[in-house]
Amino acid sequence: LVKGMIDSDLLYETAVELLGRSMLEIPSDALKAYRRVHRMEKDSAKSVYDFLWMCRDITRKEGRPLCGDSGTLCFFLTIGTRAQIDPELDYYKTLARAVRKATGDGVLQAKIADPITRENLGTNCGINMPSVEFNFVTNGKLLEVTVVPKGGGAEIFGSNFRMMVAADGLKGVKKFVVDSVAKGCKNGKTCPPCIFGIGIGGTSAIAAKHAMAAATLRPIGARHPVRWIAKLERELTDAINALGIGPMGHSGSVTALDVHIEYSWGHPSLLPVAIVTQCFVAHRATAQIASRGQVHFRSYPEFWFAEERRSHLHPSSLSGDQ
Amino acid sequence: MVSRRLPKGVELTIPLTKGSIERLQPGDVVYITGDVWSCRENFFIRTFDENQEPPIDTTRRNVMMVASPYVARRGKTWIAPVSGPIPTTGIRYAKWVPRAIEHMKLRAVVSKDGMGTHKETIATCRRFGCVTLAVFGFPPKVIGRTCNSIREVHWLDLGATEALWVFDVKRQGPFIVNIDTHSNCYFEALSQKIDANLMQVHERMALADFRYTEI
Repeated sequence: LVKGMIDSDLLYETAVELLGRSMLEIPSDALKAYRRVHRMEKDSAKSVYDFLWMCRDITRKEGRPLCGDSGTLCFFLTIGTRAQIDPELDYYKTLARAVRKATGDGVLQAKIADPITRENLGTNCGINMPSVEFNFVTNGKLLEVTVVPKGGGAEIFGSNFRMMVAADGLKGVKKFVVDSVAKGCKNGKTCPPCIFGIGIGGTSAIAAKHAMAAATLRPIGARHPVRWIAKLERELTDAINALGIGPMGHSGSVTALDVHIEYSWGHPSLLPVAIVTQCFVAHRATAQIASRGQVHFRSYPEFWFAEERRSHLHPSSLSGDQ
Repeated sequence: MVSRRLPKGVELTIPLTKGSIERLQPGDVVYITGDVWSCRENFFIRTFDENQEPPIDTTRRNVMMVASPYVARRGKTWIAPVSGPIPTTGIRYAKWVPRAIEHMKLRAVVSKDGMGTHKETIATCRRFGCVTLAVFGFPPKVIGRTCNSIREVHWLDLGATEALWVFDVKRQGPFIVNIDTHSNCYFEALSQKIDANLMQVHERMALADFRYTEI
């Protein structure tokens, strides 16, 4: 083993720390968003945010998770192709070991179960769980790890998919988004205000994958680089807020902390649209591991949406208007 | 740092009496003291799909919470190292909750959404004298810390998260009354307002006449 390589122990320790941070801390972009929307609310919607700050104070003082749900454990790794990584590093086993440790420590609830037989090993591990996804950055020197403990409520009530056709077009996309959100966020089921990730284009699987990344990995306030898509993000945010669902469904002016669209070209007969919803608490934590062993913690990934990835094969689309 | 106070509310002590809950109205804030028990999917599957009697006296412990407990074993005893039970979404138990209210003689069902606007639950609450309580706002943290201790655990073979836990809670809340005993529902009016707003959004986005292609 070359000295200074990123090895299993370093990834394990980093992942355990990340799991703790993801449950105990509110990401910086979400905190900023709460401050903004708190000022926009009044009456009971306002007091809902008063509570939020109160809960956060307690969380910080007592070191106990803010939300009752430690969710589905999803890891997103971006590997810089120049990062010095131990070739024998088993990412899946190492991350599963970190999840078992955090579960044993009581940081995570032992949630993960077989969906049909209901078997639960008490470790938050099982078939294909934790989920681990990989992405690469050419010439990057870091290993970037993000964990998203994805809450159950936002998944049950905030996940939607529709395979449309060319005739449905942009109107179909808009209708599907506002109708789905109106139904899912009612009564506070998805824990609004939410971040809505919309995957448009590609295939069913590509759209769903994009929607997940859009909802959970892109920081609130960051716009898609294509101008007309960024404009659509703002239009959908305003439309969702006009529904008046408000924090935890108690009525109010903000239901969407943001709408993030990830987009893909695809087969000309398909118009797949997937929606993934992230609840207000926006559990997420990122670490960047350098080859010499330094670890830098942050609120959201820097490299997942690397420009080269978004623009691959058709860079000119980045500046194009519709 | 914590200067904000919790809202005033009605204090309820378990076992709840029919009289104490008949006065409650949608939107009332309540706090609960006593033995609250929590359960999840596997409990309902065993009770209703496999027809087993619940292992506790639900007429005495008549407040059920669908919840996610953070529990850990320390030697031979179980503790709640992080927090007590924190309510989860109730509407996904819609298949079982009305039957639970009837057969277990429950007086209150606590969940994140207070069972939403579920019609069968509204009818059952009126018929058998039960209310549903929803979480008010974002205070899972506040709700969770009101737990003094774990009194009992049953059906641990269902898994620690899915077992039936009895918690000793003091002034647990704030909760908001969603469905009362008179067929009223807090979320019903809000729901109608959202439907009306959705129609306006459709108009503004020129979607009112849009129809998906049937494929």
